[in-house]
Amino acid sequence: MSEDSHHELGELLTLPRERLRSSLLEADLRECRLTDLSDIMLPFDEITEIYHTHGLVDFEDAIAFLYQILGDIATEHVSHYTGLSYVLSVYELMEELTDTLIEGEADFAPFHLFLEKIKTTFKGVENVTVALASPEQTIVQDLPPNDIIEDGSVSDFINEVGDGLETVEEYLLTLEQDPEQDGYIDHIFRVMHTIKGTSGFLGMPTIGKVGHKTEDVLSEIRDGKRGLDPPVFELLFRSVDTLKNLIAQLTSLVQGQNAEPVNIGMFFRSLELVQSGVEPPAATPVQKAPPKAAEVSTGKPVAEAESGDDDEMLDMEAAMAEEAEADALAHPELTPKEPVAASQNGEMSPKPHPARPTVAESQKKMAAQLGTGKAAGVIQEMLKVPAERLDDLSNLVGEMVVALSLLTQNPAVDEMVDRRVHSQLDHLEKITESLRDKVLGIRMFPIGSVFSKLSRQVRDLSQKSGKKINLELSGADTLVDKSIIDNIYAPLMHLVRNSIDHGIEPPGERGDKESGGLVSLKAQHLGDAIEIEIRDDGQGLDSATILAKAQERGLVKNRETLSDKDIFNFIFMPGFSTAKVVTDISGRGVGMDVVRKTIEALRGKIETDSTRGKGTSFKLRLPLTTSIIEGLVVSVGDSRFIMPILDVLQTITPEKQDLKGVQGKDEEFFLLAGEMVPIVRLYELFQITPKVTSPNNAVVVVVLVGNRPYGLLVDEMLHRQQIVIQQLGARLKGLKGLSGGTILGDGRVGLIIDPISLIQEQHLHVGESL
Amino acid sequence: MGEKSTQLFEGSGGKLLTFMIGSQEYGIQILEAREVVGVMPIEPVPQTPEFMMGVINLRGNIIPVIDLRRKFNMPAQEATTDSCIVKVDIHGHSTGCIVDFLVGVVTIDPKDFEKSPDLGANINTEFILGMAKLDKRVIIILDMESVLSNGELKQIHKKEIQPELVEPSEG
Repeated sequence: MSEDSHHELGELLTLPRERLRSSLLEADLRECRLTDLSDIMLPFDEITEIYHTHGLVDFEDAIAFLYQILGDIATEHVSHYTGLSYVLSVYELMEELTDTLIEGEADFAPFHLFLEKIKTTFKGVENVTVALASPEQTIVQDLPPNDIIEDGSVSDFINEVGDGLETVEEYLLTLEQDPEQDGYIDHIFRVMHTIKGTSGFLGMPTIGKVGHKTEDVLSEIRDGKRGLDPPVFELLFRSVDTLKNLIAQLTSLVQGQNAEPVNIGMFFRSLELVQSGVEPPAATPVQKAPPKAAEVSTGKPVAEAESGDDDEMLDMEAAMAEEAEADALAHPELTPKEPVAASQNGEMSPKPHPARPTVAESQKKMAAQLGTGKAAGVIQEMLKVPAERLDDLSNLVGEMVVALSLLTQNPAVDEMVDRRVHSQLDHLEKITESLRDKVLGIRMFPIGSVFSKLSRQVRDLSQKSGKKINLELSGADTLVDKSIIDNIYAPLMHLVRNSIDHGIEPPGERGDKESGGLVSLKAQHLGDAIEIEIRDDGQGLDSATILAKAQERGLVKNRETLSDKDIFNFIFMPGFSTAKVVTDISGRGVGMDVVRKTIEALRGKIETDSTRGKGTSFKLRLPLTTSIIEGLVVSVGDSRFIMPILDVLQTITPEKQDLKGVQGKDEEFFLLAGEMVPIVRLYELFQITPKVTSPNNAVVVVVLVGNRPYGLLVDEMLHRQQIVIQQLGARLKGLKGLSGGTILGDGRVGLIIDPISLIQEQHLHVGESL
Repeated sequence: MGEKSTQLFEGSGGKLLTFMIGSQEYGIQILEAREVVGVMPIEPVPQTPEFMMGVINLRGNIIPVIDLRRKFNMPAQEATTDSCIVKVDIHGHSTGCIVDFLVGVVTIDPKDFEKSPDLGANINTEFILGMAKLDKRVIIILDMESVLSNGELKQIHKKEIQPELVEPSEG
């Protein structure tokens, strides 16, 4: 073939290739469930046609094979998940070869070899129940590729799955006692789903398949198509045991030890039993709990039922042990059917893990970017501790810090002449501080794990939206509190999605900016806070449109002049959207109001900045930890309250001439640097008898709520100190204006004020009384 | 016998912690009562119903405290030296309950137990699990789960319109 024709081929293929790629990704993202196969078929047909006209006979075989898989998926001879992962792996190799071909010559020999092997493998998968039904079926998994071992992905996976399986086992045991616990099935489902997803991601097909099959059964249970009868429990327990053994095997593999083959046949045997039991009425899907429930309510000892189940468990364990022995014996002479599963891992690897090469590569890149390298070949031993215990510990340490600071500030201590007392106190203070830092450090994790999840999403979104996006990450090793890690992904994802979908202009509309859009994520420590910035170089927010929309919705009251920042704040109002088209990308998930709520729940703030044509940035400022804050202790009557310092703009006692009345009520506002600041009287709101009522004798704490200052009137400002936040408990949850409590130096409780909900509640009351 | 009364005899072995409110003896399952402490300074929490006395610092933990007198619409009374706070744990949440006087622990037999007796229309039986008769004593066994059910915060803004009922046993 000539250079020109190569070039022409490349051009012809560009469009259908992109479409096919995005359909495949879409299918992959949707867990291959609701995929419309024609989205994959149509561009694929086009590509086939092009190959054909160019006489690329080398691909004919592969194309025929892919059509066969797609057909099998359509006729449900193979699951979406399995089928598509085969399609993806073959197609990705085809793409790669095509690329080399366009640039010059390609060597098809390894490809044909690979194709032959994967075809054999697929024959096994196609009819998986038949092929795997032998109860002696054992498997030795492949060693995962080095890069994901090195970056710790495998180690994380092993720990995660191990923990997940522990809870699944517990839940199963409970469920056996009381099958009415519906939530448990959901939980088990989620664990299996994660196992399936992650193992697919890391390229561990056996674990993935067991997880996947279990998930299928669980989803039938959830949909009420299947009851929790003994064969189902048998299957679920087998699944847990098989997965545990596979994980143990993986661990030995990674640590370079000899891996014992793991029996997976028993699992598939149980699966077969369960699946064959769907049609006949003998399987008891309707009859759920009655026998045991009846036992309990008539007051028969529950212990009987329990011990019965224990025996069952023991029996099963014994059976498993026997199987394991049998496996070990059976292993040397592999049955002819056996290589099916093994070949999936073993023989399919002319390239390391063809299933998801791109993912592995991107992971590697990410690991390099994030600098989270872990020692190769080492499974980090993790200690799983209930978060509650850590919270207790950090609470106690926090209180210790507070108590110590009260002691050192005690005038009596100050008066002591013995110098040793002071140096000893200094020493104690240093130890306490480092103890606190260590304890808080336990809860701190690098934000990189969130960033890496985001980068994968950005990659996929960029494919889907057809916009080229360069993602810049910095500060991935910034340590933040676990609770922030757990909650920050959804809001960040939403902001990033918005940037890609609404911010970055489509290619060709970006003027003199670079054709690829830039989205940058930056995390850094700023004093006692962490700042995460999401910036794009897109079209920026259109303040005129936002303002018009706000006026239309009656959000702008008077003819007030609003700064750009005020206007940008409207985008965080519930249900506020200026988007003309709700796209696939931004149409789902959380809204901007939820973003703000999540950030506020973490005691953080969002600052929006945008320049038309240049881009938008969102700065999220979050406290370093959510359990200790710097607070201002104030008093109202006999009560003491704490204002989080992050919320306080300033404290002031207004001059008489600055106080203004409104509608016959005196002293409702005061002038602060030319701005009218409404006065919110805490004693009125909280129905406390105050010591002072006149603002020019009291203290006004100025707080910012949605960029607007409000003055909270309190009797007196006492001092500033670090406080340990405690929740007030379920009984007092959801109180407006209060976010928790703390034990003050004298042992009494002080309540922590949440200015945002306090002011919002205040507005609500005004609204109601009108 | 209902599920809760089954728990009373099987879980708590029929043991009750009993206390006085006014002239009536009340009991709660021993399993639900975690500890008893003397009355200590209570920090009022704004915007809560009247029976919510506030929060206390119980060895470093903040727990809410309710006044059972007010909860049962009985006239409020200043705490005396006999008053104490019974810490009750329901579904993992602790709540302190102020009672007038602690009596002690009794064990009742299922035969002494009577389920939700008819006490006439003007008594709220919603909080009552049943009654126990021991010689001359009549103990009202409280269903702490419904006493402490989270309906209370919903009443926050309604507290002014709640009628002041007086329990007849007081008179």
